[in-house]
Amino acid sequence: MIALLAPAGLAAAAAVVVPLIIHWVRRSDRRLISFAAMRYLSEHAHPRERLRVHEPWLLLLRLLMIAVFALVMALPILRGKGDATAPWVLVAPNLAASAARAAVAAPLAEWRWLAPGFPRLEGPAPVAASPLASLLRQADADLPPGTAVTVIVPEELTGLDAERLRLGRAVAWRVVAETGAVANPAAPPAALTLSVRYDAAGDAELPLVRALAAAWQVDGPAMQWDIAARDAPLPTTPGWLIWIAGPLPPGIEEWVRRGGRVLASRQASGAGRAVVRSDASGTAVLSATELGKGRLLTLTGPLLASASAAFSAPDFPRALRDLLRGPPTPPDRAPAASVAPLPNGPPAHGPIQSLGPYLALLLALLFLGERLMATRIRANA
Amino acid sequence: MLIPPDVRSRLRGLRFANRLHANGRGLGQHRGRSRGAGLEFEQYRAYEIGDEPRRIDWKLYGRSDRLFVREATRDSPLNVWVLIDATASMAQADASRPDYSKFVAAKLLAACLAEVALLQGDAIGVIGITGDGVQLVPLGGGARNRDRLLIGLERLVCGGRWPGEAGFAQVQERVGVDSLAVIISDGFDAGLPVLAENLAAARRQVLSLGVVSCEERDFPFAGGFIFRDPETGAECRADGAAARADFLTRFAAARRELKTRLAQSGVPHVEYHLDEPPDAPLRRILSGAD
Repeated sequence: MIALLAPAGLAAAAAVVVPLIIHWVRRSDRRLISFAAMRYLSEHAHPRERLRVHEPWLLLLRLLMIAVFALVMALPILRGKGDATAPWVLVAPNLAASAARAAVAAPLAEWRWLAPGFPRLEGPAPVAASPLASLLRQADADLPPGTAVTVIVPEELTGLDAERLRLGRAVAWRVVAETGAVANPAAPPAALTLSVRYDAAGDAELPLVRALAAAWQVDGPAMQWDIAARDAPLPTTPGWLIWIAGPLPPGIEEWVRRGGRVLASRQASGAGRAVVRSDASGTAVLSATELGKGRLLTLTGPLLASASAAFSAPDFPRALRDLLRGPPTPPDRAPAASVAPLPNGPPAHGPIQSLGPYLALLLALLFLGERLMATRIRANA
Repeated sequence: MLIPPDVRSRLRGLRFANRLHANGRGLGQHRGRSRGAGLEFEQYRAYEIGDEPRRIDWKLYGRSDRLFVREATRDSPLNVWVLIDATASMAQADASRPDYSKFVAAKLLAACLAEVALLQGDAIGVIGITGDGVQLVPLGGGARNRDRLLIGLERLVCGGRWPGEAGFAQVQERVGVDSLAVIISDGFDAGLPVLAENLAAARRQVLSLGVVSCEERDFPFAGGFIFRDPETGAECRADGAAARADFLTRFAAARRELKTRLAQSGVPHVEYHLDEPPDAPLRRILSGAD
């Protein structure tokens, strides 16, 4: 069964008017001829107004080309027949295979890991990296409608998203206690390390840095201090860094990409940095750049209370902390028993295959034919 | 204006045959109007003082006891005038042979006529009738005039519309009594038969050559065309295939009408189609077998 993912793409077929106009308008380019015997021409032999098409086969080829192009734009897919296969059992990757097999008695079923590509359970357990909800939706969409699916999940699920799981079929939802030593995600995060690097000029900025850190710790987690001169090495694990030591060192970008959060003063204003805070007069004070997993905040001036009125604003420490921290990650954990998928999702259609490559090949062949036909040497040209 | 060699060789068989008495100066090959010493007896006349004694018919004197002088017809050369229609419509050429316009064809016909005339010792001149007036290549005979004639022909240009009756006066002044006038035109101008009739009525022998292009004869147009009259600038949009049958009928009727009208004045009219060799129409018109 052929379906279109983007039926609006068929609007591209409106381009058929272009070759039609080309082939019809050429009709009117009448040649001017000097003809002294014109007086013997009949008054009534005006050119017939009937629409005539020049090179109908070329026109047909061009229309076909545009039709196929519009079809490609509409993203056609071929849906499978949907014959039910053997039931599937999907096992979350942070469970042990043996525990899963013990929990469900389905010897004839297809046992798969709930991981990208759905590898067989006999293989090694994959690393649980992909969002579980997305994988479940993919399995639901790819499997034929009649296939029964059993999902074995641990007691606590991560990788959920804001949408409650809704699948096209009713799945058997089994919750199994984790046996392996899984790090308790609820454990408090390790204390944050706040590194400060300063040079001679940065000495004057240290009081404000201390004040900021003190303000942050009033209602936030405690911080470990790492205050050193400019040349001291940065901690290997990226943390927070306040750089009041002039130009940034060359390796800092990689450090930020790995997750470092840096506030650097006295930096040249660079391109691609969004201004995130201005003072009352509208002058840009603070610019931010996202680099990989980290962020880089730069000040053009020194980090001195006297340098800008914005530094003395009551909400400045909190705003600066929010900027360094970045947007909070949405909650994605829940007890598995409470997020069993609802069966009222989009109906399952089975595996789909894109017709795009075949149509693209057809389009290329049509284009080649059109070029050959349009540029061929005509006998009567 | 080079005559192709094969055409030139075929021209040797052509002759001007005049109906009227030739009136040129000097000795020629045509029966002339002037009398004098010669072979062909014309008349006796009474002796007048000053006649040469050797021209007196002494045997007649013996019989009649009076002095008579024998007079014979003198053979004179013919004066041939080629009148070329040099209006703008003559610039038309077939698309298949764009460098061979009707005007070029007319000049080539004139060159062929000059070749024939000069071969038989007649004098020939050319008059091009344009909208601005008359272009003249003066009358001349003999082999030494051939190059002058050809250069004069080369200088003729065409343009404008057919002049009114006033324009004919110059033509009629030039073309003397008893001379032969060959009119080469495309036959689209209403003044042309009038000129031919006037000349014929005034004791000139007139021949008419009509130049017809292949496109006019066959009308091979298919599709939309804008036809423009080169002289009036009038335009007419027509579909070639649809207009063909009607055009051919009307054009053939017009040509027939022209031929009939000229024949009524004793002017033979022969058509020259641009795809013919130029000696073919000359052969038809000079032999009188059209």
